[in-house]
Amino acid sequence: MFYQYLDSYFQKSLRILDLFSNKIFIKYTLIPAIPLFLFTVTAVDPYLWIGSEIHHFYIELFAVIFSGVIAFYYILHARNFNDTFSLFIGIGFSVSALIYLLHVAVSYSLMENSDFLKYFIPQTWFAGRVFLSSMLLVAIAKYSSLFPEDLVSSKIDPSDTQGNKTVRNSSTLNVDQKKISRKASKKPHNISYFPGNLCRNYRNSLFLHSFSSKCFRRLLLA
Amino acid sequence: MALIFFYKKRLYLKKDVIYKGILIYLLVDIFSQIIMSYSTQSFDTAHNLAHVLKDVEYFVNIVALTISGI
Repeated sequence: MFYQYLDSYFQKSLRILDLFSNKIFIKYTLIPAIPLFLFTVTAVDPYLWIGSEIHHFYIELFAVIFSGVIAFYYILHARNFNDTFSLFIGIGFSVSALIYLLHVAVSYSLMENSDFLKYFIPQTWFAGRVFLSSMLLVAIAKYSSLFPEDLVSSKIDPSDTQGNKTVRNSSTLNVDQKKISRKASKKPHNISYFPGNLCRNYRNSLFLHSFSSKCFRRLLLA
Repeated sequence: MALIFFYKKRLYLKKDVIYKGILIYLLVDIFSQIIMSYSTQSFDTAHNLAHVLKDVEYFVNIVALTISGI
């Protein structure tokens, strides 16, 4: 019994070690981690880059704009593809954008009151990050999955738990696109093409319709 | 934790660039939080660098969304 447990534990640890031979892990996690680690080391010295309230204001303003754009497109993605994963991420980004907007507005308006900002800035930073991280965690842990179609279309060996034997020699659609193409093959309907494939169906064209100009509307219906 | 779940659920196998963007976002997010933990007062190096990294991670996400075709 003990040896079986030890053996399974050993197998699990071997799987974790196999991750280091995974190309995607190396390319998207290990290599970007090197410059980030160097940044972390340089950040130890607190007097290397002393900023001010106005610098903070501009950096946060960019963050609010970026976050708003990401939220808009993730929610649009969720709406187009009925994807709960994107919806969770979109809501996370939109709420964090609102929190950062408060962070920016208050820190700018109360620039003189440094005693208040000393507590307010870390608190709102923490609130925004925790909310977004928890939404991402829920989205990834609960509402994401690798469908079997993905494994078949990209010729991945399903028995391979590490994804090291991946052979991609055919261009594949992602799962959401496959669902749509399947729907389209069952019931043909007019698809209005728009940058970003926003108008996949009538409901979405109505959604765009509500905030588009007359000229834009004509372009979609053409 | 989200990064662990990302690898555990093998989402990195998805061909969509959005997932790669999320992967890099999570990594930069982890480091920005680590850097922020060094901050002892407002507007010091760690504070500023963490804020800049936050902008970078959002930008990476936007680029991923754009490449993916949204």
